[in-house]
Amino acid sequence: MIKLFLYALLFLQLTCVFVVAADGNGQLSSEVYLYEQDSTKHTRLYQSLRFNLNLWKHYDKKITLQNYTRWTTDFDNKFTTDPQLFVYNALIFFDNIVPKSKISFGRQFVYTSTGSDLIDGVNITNRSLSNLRFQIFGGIRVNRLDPETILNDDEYKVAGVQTYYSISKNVRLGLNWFSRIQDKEIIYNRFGFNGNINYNRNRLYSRIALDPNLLTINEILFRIDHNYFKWSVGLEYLYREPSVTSSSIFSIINVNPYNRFRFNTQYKLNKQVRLIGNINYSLYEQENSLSGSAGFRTSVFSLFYNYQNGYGGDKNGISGSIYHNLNDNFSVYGSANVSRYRVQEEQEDLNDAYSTSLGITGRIDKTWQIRTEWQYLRNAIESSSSRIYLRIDKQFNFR
Amino acid sequence: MKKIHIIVCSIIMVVSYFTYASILPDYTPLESSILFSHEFHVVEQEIDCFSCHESVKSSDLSSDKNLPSMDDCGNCHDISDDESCNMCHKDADEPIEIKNPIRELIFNHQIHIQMDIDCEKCHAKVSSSNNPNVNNLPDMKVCLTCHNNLNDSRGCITCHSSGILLTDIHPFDWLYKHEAGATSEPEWCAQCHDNQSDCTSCHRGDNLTGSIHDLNYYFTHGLDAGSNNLSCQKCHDNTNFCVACHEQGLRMPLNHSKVNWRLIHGIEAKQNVENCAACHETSDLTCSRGGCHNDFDGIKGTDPPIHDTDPAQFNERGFWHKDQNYYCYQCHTSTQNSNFGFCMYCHNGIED
Repeated sequence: MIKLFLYALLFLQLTCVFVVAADGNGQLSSEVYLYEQDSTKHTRLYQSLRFNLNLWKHYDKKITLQNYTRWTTDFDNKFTTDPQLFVYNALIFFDNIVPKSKISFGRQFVYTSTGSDLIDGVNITNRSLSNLRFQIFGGIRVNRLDPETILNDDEYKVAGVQTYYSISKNVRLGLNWFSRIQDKEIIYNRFGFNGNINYNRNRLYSRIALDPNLLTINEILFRIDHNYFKWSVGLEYLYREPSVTSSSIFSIINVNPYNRFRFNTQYKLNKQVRLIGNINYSLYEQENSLSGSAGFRTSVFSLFYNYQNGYGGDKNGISGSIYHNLNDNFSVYGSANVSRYRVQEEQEDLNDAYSTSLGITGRIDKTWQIRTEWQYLRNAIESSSSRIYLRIDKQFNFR
Repeated sequence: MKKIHIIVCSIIMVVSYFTYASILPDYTPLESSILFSHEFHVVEQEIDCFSCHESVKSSDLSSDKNLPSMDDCGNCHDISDDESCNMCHKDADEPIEIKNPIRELIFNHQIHIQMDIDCEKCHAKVSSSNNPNVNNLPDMKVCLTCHNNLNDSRGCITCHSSGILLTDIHPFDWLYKHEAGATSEPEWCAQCHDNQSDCTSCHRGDNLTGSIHDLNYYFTHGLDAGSNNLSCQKCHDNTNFCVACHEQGLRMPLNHSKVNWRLIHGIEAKQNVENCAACHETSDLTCSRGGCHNDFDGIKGTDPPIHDTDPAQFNERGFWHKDQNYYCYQCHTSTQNSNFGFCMYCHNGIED
């Protein structure tokens, strides 16, 4: 089974590009990243291909192939995973072939509010009932350290269900289940409930996750957003109990749940300028944590102040970015980030971290785009590090 | 010589301008020369929309002209009276015909009307309008309220007939500006981007360009890993993602180098047990290594406790009685005999 399925699907897809594809689009990207770290020189190459191909279309019915594959290596000092072929997506997608259903087979990312994974499997969404969306998925989990290998199906399976029921145009309720199975034993099991209400300029979202194995509430989230003309305000409460799989020996540790409050606001000064601020306050058992940021963003410029204090460490930082169109095809951009921080409370002196980047991006024609960026980093480990990033994208359409 | 260049360039620019101007479609905005109050006709006189716009019932092209003709107005108004021309025409001496703008969109009024969709759902607030203008025409955002990816998965081709290059939709400066739209109006993106890799091809965790995290995040991420682990987990699976560097690169998290780490690591474990399990469960179990949390002598209370010994928890016959490899025995290695050691904690030498 090793690699066979993925390569077969990839081969099928590439064949279809030239033979039967009705239409579609895609992008071919080459990236080179040159830097030196810990006195080790790296020249990393990332070569990726992404495409959507409509094999067949008839009104609202279609069969599509989707793929995103990346090949990575290092010309100087290889990492243990180099060279690596990572197929992030390789699936065949049937849209409305079964009425009001979307079915996809292959490698894909699946998610619910209680869990997510990259799997090799099947994902079915059905909307036969007008107010109900029902989704079921299952497959074998992809090991990100060894993505070329499809695991033995006894080793690591993933399954889940997600349903959404719209009571009205503005009220939607969801119920979901996400489970991981290893060696025929359920090692991760979560039931979740979520609700979303939109009323005038308000949005209310809440979420609860339960662990049926340990009979505990794992997470409660409650969030309200309000928009009033130029103001947007959001308030969030989170209760969370850290957890590991029920078969883990770490599950015997009596964990400390924590509470977190978040407040964020945004004010549109005018069409160009937005003032943004947010504050997070987390209540832990031993030491609380306060963090926040404030700043503004325009279409060409942004500046933010970031702060963190308490559990996890301390940080004061300023970050900014600028963007300027030279003409219709070329633009320059830059960013800078300065911060003083400490991760350990015993640490007397704060560490400095400084980074800056300058880049130029250009469109050679409608389908070719290049981007080159110079980066400079200074931090606790690297007294001075200069890096170069280069990216070339080719977009293409099939007709 | 320079002057010649300037003259030649100027001529090329002027010729180009007029050439383009002649090619571009003649667009007459609907800021019309007609005086008309929808509010008066629809609200006060309660006249049905189709009384004037009857042709929309059978209109199946966006280029159809569905505005009422002067004859339609004549059904109620006396259009033969020259004295009352200025009741409707802003300039009665030179009335201007409203030209339909060239539209290449696919749009079928007939289908929408057959589905009993109220006119004002698309032509917002037209019934309170006192001046016909483009504001009463729907923009793409209005279309997306129904033609979103949940209800209609056909994407751009639902309305846009001609082949559209990605670069037509994503302008040149999209890379810098897409964040605002992607966060505030994700339904725009979801209309076409049902392929997850559209986002992850850039937002994939390598942080090559500092798009998500700043460039020094490699060195400062411990701040978030400690206090904001949940945010990390939104994109990264800590078992898979963290281990890739920390285990393969043999780099310990910074807090492990604290001088009192042996004393305080239990507190950290209670707070961020997912982080502990991510590395320490995939390799050998560090907790019981070196005799730290290892009950090898079978004497209760002599080793640092890792969990509560709630009597109620252990009264029932648990899995550890049947499974010789149950995880209790990774630390409680003293014995599996009811007469001695760990089993004696409950059994007191009595076989059960």
